[in-house]
Amino acid sequence: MPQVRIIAKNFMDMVAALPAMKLDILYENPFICEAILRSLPPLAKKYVTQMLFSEGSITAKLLEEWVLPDGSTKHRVSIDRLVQLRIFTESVESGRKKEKSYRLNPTFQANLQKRITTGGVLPREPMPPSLTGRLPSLEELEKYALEQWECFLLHLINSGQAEKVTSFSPSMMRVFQRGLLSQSKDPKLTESGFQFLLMETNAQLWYIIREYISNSEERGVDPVDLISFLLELSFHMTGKAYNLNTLTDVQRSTLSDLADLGLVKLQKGRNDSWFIPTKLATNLSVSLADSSTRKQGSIVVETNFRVYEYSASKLHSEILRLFSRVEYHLPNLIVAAITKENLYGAFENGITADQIVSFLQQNAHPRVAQRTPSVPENVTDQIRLWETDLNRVEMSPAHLYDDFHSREVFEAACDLAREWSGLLWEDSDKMRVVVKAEIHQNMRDFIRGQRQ
Amino acid sequence: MVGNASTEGVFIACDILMAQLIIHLNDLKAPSEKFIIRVLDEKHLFVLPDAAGMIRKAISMSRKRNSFQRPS
Repeated sequence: MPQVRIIAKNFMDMVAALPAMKLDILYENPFICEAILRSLPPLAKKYVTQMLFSEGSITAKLLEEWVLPDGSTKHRVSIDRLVQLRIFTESVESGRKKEKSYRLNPTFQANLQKRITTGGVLPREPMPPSLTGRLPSLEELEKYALEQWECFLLHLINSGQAEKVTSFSPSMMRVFQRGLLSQSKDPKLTESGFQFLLMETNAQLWYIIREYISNSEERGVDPVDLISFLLELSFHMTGKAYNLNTLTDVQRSTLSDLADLGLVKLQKGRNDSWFIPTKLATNLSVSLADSSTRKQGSIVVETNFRVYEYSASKLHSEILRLFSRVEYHLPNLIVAAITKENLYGAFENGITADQIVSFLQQNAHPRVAQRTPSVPENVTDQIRLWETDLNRVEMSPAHLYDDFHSREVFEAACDLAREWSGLLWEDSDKMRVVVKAEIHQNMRDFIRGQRQ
Repeated sequence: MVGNASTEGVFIACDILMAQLIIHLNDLKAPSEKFIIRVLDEKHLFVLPDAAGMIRKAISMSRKRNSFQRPS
């Protein structure tokens, strides 16, 4: 089984991985400087702010004196991060002491100074209500964003359930699906695909945005433009309208993709068109850990293996279908049953019992979530038992040795195998021993040596 | 005799039931196709290196035979 894990890497990790030239271009935008500053570890933030208004460089030694001795690991992590992001430029003095010193990236410094003293103004202002009329309320907007996102996910997992069509080209969709679906004629969700579906919306969004950015060059869009636009977008106000004519062509075409993901809502007025950023967009530059607002769960599992999910979402029923048999689909309720056959199907796709159990627990309906355990124990136990039932037989390539001519050699051989932690089985009466195939070579050499 | 014969194969650790199932499979085979090299004890077997896939398949077959699926 391939061990591909989907790590929703941070936006900033991606920024840090950019070539130096592109980073310098990014720092021309004050918003990006601020977004970067926000993303830094606390100690690094302190260093930047402390050095913000001092010209010239600071020696590494002096910097080290700012922290207590037990903070030295954090100190190193912060410095590495700053150098990686090219906020700090390292220079080694040519004097005989060869002291390292750091200084702030001048563009970054100048922009951040400006941003702090005068405050930033977005390249575009929200449009006055007189032009736009009534705008969707925050709740409506959130509902819209989630709907769009769900529709996108349905397309992603290739279900025929999605009603709306996305404007993403099939090739773009294939890029997103890479790694989530098996590459066969009849694509099936892989292990990592299932993990992806169980992730939080924000984490999922990261994954998709990352793929979107790393693929941008093939579409003839500079990743730097894209990153700076996405970061800029995260500074816009949720629910305010911004005029489309303030954007470049590239940004406008990006925006229609983002609308498909539910990051923005596009609207048209009599003369103008505008976009309204949703919560998904403004959360982009917030690091993953900070934005873990848990959705309210909606699943009730009964002791008779029935699963009730109070949801109208087709995506949820698709997820349930991965490991249970969906029996009824009512307007606001999905009734399913966890069966052995469906679970075996899930296990074959590489989904583990623990993942399923934790999915049921994390999405427990508020009514049952207060109870402990939120999912009946007999159900969780049975899911785990069924999984172990699949692994009743353990096989390992091995070598069997017998016909030892003396007990001493046999025991020495057993000890050796134990030392290499490769002993699988021994029978001291009949003097037989089974060792792992990896240590066969060592064993053979040893026994040959004994023979002489 | 200075033996120390070593045999390459696959070591199987399982419960008694599964071991019996595998032994039964072996008994059904023609003499030229027998795959068990040695029955080590009631829970451990040593079989030919290429038998692993066949055994797995046979076990999942017997599992399917032994489970009931409600006709839908």
